[in-house]
Amino acid sequence: MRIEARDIHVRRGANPVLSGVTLAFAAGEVVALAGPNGAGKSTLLDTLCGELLPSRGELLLDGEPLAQVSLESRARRRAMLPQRAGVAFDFSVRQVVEMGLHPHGIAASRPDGQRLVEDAILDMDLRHLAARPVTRLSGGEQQRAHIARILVQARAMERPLLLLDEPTGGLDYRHQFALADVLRRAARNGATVIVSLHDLALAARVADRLLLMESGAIVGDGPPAELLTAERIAGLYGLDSRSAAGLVPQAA
Amino acid sequence: MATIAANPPVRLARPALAGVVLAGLLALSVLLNLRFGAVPISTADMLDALGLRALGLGEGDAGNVMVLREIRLPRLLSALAVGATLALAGAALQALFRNPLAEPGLLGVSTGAAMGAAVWFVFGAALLAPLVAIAWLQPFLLPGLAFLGALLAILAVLSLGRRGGPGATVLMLLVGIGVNAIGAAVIGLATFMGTDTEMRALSIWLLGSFAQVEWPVLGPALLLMALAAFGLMRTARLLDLLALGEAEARHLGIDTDRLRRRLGLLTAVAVGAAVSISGIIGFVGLVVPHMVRLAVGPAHRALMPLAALGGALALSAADLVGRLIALPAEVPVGIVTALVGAPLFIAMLLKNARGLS
Repeated sequence: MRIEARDIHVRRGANPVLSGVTLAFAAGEVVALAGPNGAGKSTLLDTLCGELLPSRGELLLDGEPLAQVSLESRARRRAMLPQRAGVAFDFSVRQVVEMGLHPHGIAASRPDGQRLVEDAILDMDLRHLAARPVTRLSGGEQQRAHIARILVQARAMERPLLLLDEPTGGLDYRHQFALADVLRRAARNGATVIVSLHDLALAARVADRLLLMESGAIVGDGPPAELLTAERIAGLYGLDSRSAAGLVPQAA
Repeated sequence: MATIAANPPVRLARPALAGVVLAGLLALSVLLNLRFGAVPISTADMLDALGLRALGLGEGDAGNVMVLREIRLPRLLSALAVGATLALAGAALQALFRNPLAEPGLLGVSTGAAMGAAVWFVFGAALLAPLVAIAWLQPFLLPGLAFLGALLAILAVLSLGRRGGPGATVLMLLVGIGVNAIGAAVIGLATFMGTDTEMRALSIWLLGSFAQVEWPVLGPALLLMALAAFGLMRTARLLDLLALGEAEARHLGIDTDRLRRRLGLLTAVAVGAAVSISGIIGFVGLVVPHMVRLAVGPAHRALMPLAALGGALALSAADLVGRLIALPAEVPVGIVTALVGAPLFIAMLLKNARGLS
């Protein structure tokens, strides 16, 4: 298992946000996290990446307790895209994408570094924006720059572990699908991808496995086609059955 | 692949060009600083004073050589070092706060250092008598106390004024105002309790001035400034990643707590040493990194060395103006930098406010 949570409990301040979560993630799978606001999706991702410490339970990265893995080593083994990343000062898109090379000690001028950066810029359709300051771009364009940075960081790893918190925020359909393809491709090459998504159709499109969360607990874990029934969605999000039926992908 | 080949030279060329331009202007400023002042000095005097008698037209006037070696040279060196150091400290604080308005003066770090120095001037001999007795340590006590004052101020602004989100700039500047007020109160107390001579020396020095610089004081401060500048330059790569935010920098493997401590310590050494010889000189740390960023972008591996060059240039030029503008009197350099820097600060504030609304 790449990363494993055993009965973890996490608090933010005094409030318990995750209670008794046990999960394991294997190489080669794309796992989507879905659930209503406040279900604990971001907290779970922040915990898996090491930013939040569980108050109870065990968290293992490649079988090693995550708390004992140094920050440098974590950065060479997993890439994390938080919600709403921002940049201070007028760094160009290319400069931001190059920052993904830092954990691996690869200079942006080295041929392999250049290739990683160029590929990610192409994948996120940023070529025409590469020289522009990130701060002057639209929200979706900024998000693509950060995704490209994460892709660079992940692709320089032997077996990437990608954690993405709402990566589709601000992305139009074309770029959502482009991201879905990139994540599928990464998993085919052995990456582990854990991504929180609000769009259930997109989750069904990209994920092998869907995790449904509610009030800090996992309430569903399985292939999207099995989990995404109108009944379950109506219950999870507090919707009437007609609205819920409209959200469930046709394939389900 | 064509774009790959085309891009790097563009990125390298701008900082290199800016470096050449700044170095040229700096050389000019150095020459003008040596040549002009209250006493007229010839090229021969200048070369003689610099130990280059063979290049000159012969031996210089002994009195002028003396003026150069004992007054203008240490003064010029102080202006260069303090300018470079304050610009680097400004750039480091800006990266740390992710805010172009962070500056040693505005955040109260310079006042903190001045507070330490004022305590030394007035109470030093009494408070630190056992340390004063140690000959080799004695020249380090003034910059040492200034460092402690700067460190206190940095700890205060780091713990209180570093919250993110909307209003972050306002909070940071307000904490700076508070720290400045505390420092000013302690300085006021020291002035009040000092003798008339001490008071006069303190007040000139508080305006920011190189008029009282002498070789023996300069040595230890220069050493500390060089060490701090070297340490700050070495963090350049990591400073870029801080622009993403502290959590993102940690995701990229940076121990942000350690980096923050390191930057705080180096900035305190830098500002403490600078203030110990020059008093409070504001706005260099604000204006210079801002200008350099406009010219070559925000990447710190270019920004830091260019800010050091630019700071040296700005302060040596400002001191030259201050020395010449009201001959035979002179205007303290801190007044010159404030007259130039404060309007620019207000312009930056307005731009920042527009960005928020």
